[in-house]
Amino acid sequence: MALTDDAAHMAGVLAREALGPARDAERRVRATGEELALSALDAVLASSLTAGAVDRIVRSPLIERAVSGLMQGPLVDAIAAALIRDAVLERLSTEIVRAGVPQRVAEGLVAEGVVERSVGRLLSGPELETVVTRALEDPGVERLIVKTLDSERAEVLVGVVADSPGMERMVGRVIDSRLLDTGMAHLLASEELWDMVDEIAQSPAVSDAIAHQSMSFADEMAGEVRTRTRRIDDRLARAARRAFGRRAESGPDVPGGASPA
Amino acid sequence: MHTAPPVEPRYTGLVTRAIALAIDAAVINVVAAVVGIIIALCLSVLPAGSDTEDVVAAISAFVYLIWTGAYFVTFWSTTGQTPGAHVMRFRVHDRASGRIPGLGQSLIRLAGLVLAAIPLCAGFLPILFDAKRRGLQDFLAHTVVTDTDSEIEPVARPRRRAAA
Repeated sequence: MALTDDAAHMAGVLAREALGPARDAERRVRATGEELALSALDAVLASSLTAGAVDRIVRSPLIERAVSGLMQGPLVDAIAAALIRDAVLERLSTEIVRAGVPQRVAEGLVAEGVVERSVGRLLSGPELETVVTRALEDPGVERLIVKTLDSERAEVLVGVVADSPGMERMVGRVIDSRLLDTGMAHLLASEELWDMVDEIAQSPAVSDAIAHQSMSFADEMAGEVRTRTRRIDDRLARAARRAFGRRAESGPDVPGGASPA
Repeated sequence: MHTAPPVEPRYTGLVTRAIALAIDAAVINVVAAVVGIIIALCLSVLPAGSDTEDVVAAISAFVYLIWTGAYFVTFWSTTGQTPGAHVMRFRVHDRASGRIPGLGQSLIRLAGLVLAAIPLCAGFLPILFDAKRRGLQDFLAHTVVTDTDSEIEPVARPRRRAAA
């Protein structure tokens, strides 16, 4: 049994020794063939014939039909499904943002004056006016404004803004500015203001209020006079009775009344 | 006809009544002055002799007295208070019934008012001593003067019996 194994091992060694040169020759031939094929391909690509052929193919309807068939085929759907499934776009946008691409693009647009030209074009064109007009006519905007103004947050915000030192400074500047004086001068010079003042002054509500106020004041004055005169009456009556030693016959000893006898 | 609360009435004193009289005098004289000015303006464009002016002056004085007397009598006998008394919140009543004085009673009271004023207003001095604060005019006309917020309750007028 042991003799048989040794014989087999020896046979294998001899076979490898005999096949080694043949394998080296095979590898050399394969490398040479690959180099020849690549050289031939380079020659084909560099030739004007190939360029002309490619141009003809590109300009031919064949490419258009091929692209159309490709876009209408299931390949595009499969690619889109794969993009969505694997969140390729999200990862791509994350990487883009992380790399600071939007910031660089924005800075580049600003530096090149693109933003300035775009804003100028927007302000001078009719599009902005159309957009604003449509927005103002949209009932949704009205609801949004009403909802915003009704919210507690808006109230708090207005309170904070109104109490802020910045608002105080701004109001102070407005009051100190010539704008207010000019506005007041125009307002006082306008006939509409005085027409409105005349309307208000002649309105029955204002007349009634003034009359009521005058009557209230007159009543108050008369009441005060009455109180004081009745007090003086009592003092005079008491002084007179004391001076002449008389006693009142009847009546209450109350302010404004005779003393009892 | 006004009804009064059942509390003891508060009789109006001398100073309060004097101020009311001053208010009434102001009203009387303002009206008389306005009327007098109008008449004087009218007469100024009419030819009139000195005799006519004397007659007009006498008539004016007479009208002034009538106007003054009518002012008090009318207000006392209709509402029991003149405008001055209304401002000072008091009213004249018949002493026995509590009602506002009648026309004759008001005329007597007006005469008493004049008589009280003649002896340097001495006729008003009893207001200081009398328990019901009555002056000479009140004694003569049997009236009292009370504050309107403590008026005396009027006594119901007795019904006349039907003639048998």
